[in-house]
Amino acid sequence: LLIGGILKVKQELFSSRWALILAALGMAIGTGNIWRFPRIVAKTGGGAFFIPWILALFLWSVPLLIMEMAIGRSTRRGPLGAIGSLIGKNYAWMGGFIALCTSAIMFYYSVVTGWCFKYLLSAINGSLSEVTSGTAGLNYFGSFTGSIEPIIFHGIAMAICCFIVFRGVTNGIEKANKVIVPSLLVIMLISMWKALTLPGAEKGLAFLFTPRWETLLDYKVWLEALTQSAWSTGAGWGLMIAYAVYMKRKRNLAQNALITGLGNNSASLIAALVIIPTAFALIPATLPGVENMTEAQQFEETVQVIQAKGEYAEYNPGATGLAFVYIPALFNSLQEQFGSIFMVIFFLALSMAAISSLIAMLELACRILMDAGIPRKKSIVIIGITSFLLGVPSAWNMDIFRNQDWVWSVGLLVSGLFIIVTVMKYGVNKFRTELINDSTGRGVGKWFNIIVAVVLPLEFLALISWWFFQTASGDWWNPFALENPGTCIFQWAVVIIFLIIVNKPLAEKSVSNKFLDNREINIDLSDKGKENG
Amino acid sequence: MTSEAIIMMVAVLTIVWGGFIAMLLFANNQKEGATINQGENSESKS
Repeated sequence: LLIGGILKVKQELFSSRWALILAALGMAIGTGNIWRFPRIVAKTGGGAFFIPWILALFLWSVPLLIMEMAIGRSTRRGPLGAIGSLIGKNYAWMGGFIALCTSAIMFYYSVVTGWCFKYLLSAINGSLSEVTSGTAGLNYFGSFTGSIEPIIFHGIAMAICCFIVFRGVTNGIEKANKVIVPSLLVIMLISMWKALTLPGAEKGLAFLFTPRWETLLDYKVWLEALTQSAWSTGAGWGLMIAYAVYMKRKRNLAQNALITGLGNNSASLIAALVIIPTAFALIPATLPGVENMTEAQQFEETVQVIQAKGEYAEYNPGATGLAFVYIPALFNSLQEQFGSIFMVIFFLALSMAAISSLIAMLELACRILMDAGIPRKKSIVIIGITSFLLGVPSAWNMDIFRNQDWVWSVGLLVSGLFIIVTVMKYGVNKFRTELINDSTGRGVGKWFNIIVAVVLPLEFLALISWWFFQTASGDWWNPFALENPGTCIFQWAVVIIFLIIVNKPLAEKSVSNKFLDNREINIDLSDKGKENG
Repeated sequence: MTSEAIIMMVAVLTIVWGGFIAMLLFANNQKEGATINQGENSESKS
């Protein structure tokens, strides 16, 4: 729009605060809330686990979400351009790592989204009705992943999400999340009501909330809680940087970060209140030789199944908990028509949670290209095709899937570290007062400085050491192992070296480009403007 | 369920669900009127 010699180019922004909140919740609430959280609660003994889990929300996730929002909102760029413009072009590669790490997750996350679609379709057409035991569930999953179908469904998932991102922020991302997030919450609440009214569900409820205080003395419980919070809320992924690009300037960052974090944890709690009572109500009947078991033995076996421990470890393919192996058998054991409806509802919820998170990942990847001057529509075509091709190996081979899941999930901790380093390099207090708080000082207090400078780096060190320690064996250095420190370090190093080599031209384009996705910029085309350069 | 488990359940649900709902209500009640929003929409960078 040319007005009086000023070229006005309007940037897309979320149309309202609620649109932004729904998009942020859609980003945070993913499949991990539904299948990982209940398993981790069970693994750590339930009850007392909630204490470190809630603390981790306030001591890791919320501060990181605040920082990401501030970075995206103030620079109006994706991670690469944002870090380059905040602390200097020489550091832009750190933003590149954040974007590549989340993109690498996106490649196989799209495969998982495809699994959800396949199971939703199978639940609707009744082909899952043959799955009446854990073994049958394992065979069904094995024959599915051994076929070409995962690649097809991966392509469908990618195409749907690309279409949404292709339509832009307000017409695509915003509209999709306005439908998906409220529907997802309603579906989960209906499922929770059904689960809690099953006979025997109260045992699950008791297991879930009975505090076993001695578990708090185990450092692993604290680290599991921190890991769950780090992975589940989307903190440190860079996704919030991408969404905050479209955030209005007057938004209260701390409040939005709190809503996102608490909303994510609320969804996790609902999922636990679906899965664990359902498992306690239905698993005993599906156990072989149940008639010879005492009630205490049935209880122990049920806990083992939920934790995917011992002989049930194989029921947890791709760390997806009970979702694809045991859940169909559980719903089929319901002696009423509601069983199949419940199954459809469950896989519909999983599919919706997966789509809303995949959209955010695609937007982040697109944002990097848009910052480099490529228009949105062209960017999404490039990203869509590339992501489909790079996701095919994970769709085709479960070992590749496991390796990628391991390398890039732990890589998210490094991404979180890069965000912390960016803020420290910028100056924590300066960042807080200039980029987070508004002109009236509303925002976060000085406690934030201590969290960023002391608590977050210590948490990072504890987490990364623990994950590496857990998987370190004799060949810890082997870069071609499935899950060990060596393969992480090797793959991260390849990415970081590549990014450092191409850092200069990449940073130059991303930081300097002023025609970024219809950003609102007033360009003076009058004679005076020309004189001023 | 033991009384300890019930207390834990009430505490967790109050903090997480209660906190989420309270934050949503708080955000909703904040006066971000049409005037401000209009101003925000045209984020002028002259």
